[in-house]
Amino acid sequence: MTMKNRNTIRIAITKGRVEKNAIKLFQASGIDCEELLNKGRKLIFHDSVNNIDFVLAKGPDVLTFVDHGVVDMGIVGKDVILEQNKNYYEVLDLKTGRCKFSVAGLPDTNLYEGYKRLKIATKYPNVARNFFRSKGKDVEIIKIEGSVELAPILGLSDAILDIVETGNTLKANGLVILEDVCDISTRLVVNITSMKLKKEEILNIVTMLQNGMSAMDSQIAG
Amino acid sequence: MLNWMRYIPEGTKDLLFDECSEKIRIEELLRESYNSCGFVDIITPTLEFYDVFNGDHTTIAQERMYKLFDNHGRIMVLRPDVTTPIARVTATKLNESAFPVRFCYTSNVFRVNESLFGKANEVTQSGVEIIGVNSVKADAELIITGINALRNCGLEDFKIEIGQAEFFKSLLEELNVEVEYKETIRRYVEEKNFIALDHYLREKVKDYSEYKLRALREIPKLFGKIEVVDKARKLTSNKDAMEALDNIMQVYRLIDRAGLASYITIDLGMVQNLDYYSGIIFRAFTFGTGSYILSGGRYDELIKTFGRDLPAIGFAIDVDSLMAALQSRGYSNSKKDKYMVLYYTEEFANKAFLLSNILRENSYVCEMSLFDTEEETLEYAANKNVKMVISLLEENQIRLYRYSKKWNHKDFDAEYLDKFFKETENDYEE
Repeated sequence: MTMKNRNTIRIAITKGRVEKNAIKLFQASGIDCEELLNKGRKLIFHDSVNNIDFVLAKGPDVLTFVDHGVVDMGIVGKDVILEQNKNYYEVLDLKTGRCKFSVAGLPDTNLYEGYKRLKIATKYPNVARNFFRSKGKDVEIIKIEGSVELAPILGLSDAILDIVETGNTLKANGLVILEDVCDISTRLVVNITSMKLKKEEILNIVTMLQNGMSAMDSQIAG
Repeated sequence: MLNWMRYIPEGTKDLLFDECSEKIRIEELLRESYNSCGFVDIITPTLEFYDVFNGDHTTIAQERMYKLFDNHGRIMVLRPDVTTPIARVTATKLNESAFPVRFCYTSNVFRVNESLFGKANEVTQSGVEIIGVNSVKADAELIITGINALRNCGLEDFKIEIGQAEFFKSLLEELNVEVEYKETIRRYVEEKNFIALDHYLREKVKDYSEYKLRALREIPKLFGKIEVVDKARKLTSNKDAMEALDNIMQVYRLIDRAGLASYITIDLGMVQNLDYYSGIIFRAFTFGTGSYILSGGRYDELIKTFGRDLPAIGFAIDVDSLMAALQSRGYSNSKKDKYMVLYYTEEFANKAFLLSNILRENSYVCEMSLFDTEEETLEYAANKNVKMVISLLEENQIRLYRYSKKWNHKDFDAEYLDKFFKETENDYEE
């Protein structure tokens, strides 16, 4: 946040799946992403027409950058937003990257029976804690970094809470969805002071993205 | 066992040299500004009972407070905020005072942030409170005090955004929706997530009408110039909401009379801590820091929880953020005094101390050399980047060394210091 880039808008995009969909949307919205498509090993890209810098980062880092104001906007999945407790404006649902959080386990698992304190394995401990608290259920949460599906199979946990896209991984491992938690999609978040200091530029990008979204919708419909 | 003796806790820092002086300088500028408006200093304990911060009025979650026990087993906290202790003092100790009372403070507050987020757990707050009056004059006075305090530090390109807690509260009150949905509505407004807000209202409000709910639906977009208030006025007929808007306009007009309207913007979507704030809310932001440098508002319900019903309004400046903003602009007004190291031998110690006092009276910084030889003194000064050393080698003779690539010296008669002072005024090119 130096003086010289006061008029530049910096956008952090989550690497990977979110990035691919975001680039499509940016192009449909008339924002130049050429540099992003031919990126090599670079991490910062520039669109000189709209004066936008793009940064590629991991989801949680996108939120950290937005929270600290080192970027103005971020594009990140709702899954990351729900897990990280940070401050920003969440202004737009980009409707891409749709999937859901679900609780899954072996077919005969009953989450709400018995006195035993359930063990839940997850990559998203905060989401799991909040969900089971909202159900009035006290559970023990075990953080898993990799394939969460292993936990109930190996007998480490009674169930898992994870992102479900197609359900194929669950099926292949003999697990079933026990309960859906919430839907997930990609969101646009904005730093709190950037929203005020660069209001016009930011709302302009929001409008461009909204138009891009309707353009893509009508393309699919047509 | 791992030993932490060479480390400091997360979210804390050691401040040294220029950074430390700069911080104290900013704190003094702020305090000077408050004092000149009649605010009097207050210091409350760093340690307080947990009960002080644990009530309906609290805005800080218990897991964010540093807790410890005293020798009776009572729970103590490192103060997470200064306003609440001032409310306690007001309710319990100010029976004889003439209200309104104006307090100002500079204190460190402690809040546990999540690890590894890069946030400070010990933060210096510099703030003021006006207690005992709820009026447009008091609201404007406080905001003007804030603007002038920031300007006194050399910050010009900042904005204070004003909102009104009662505006959103009264719109929410008339809403025909189940209580548990209200928090979600508030959250969408706070996040400025106008699209989700709109969908949620359509889904949850029993007698949804686009027209009737137009004010609520528009709130996330109601920020910017003062005209926003007029725009909001056209969107509602709710009497309390209108009063809240009138309140903003009245405060704005007074600030305008003070010639400070250019610092003001509006955000009617400031809806955080609604149980705490009861009227005007405001925050200041600027380039160079992603967070607010000042935040405050009217909190008429707080002191009541300590047993005395008194309205109040206050703000706190985050000194560390303000300093970051000033540094990103390269401002440092810290006056660089002429700094010199004075070397003396025991024989002429009395003259040396006399001379050091004269120098200090003439606003030089004079550091007495603690070395036994002139040579060591010169080497030390060069390492420390001090450009002047004076040496008392004879009764009435001052030798002035100046550094420019190497040490050069001139001798002066101690009886006639004019020439000596004149020489120190000359700046050598480095």
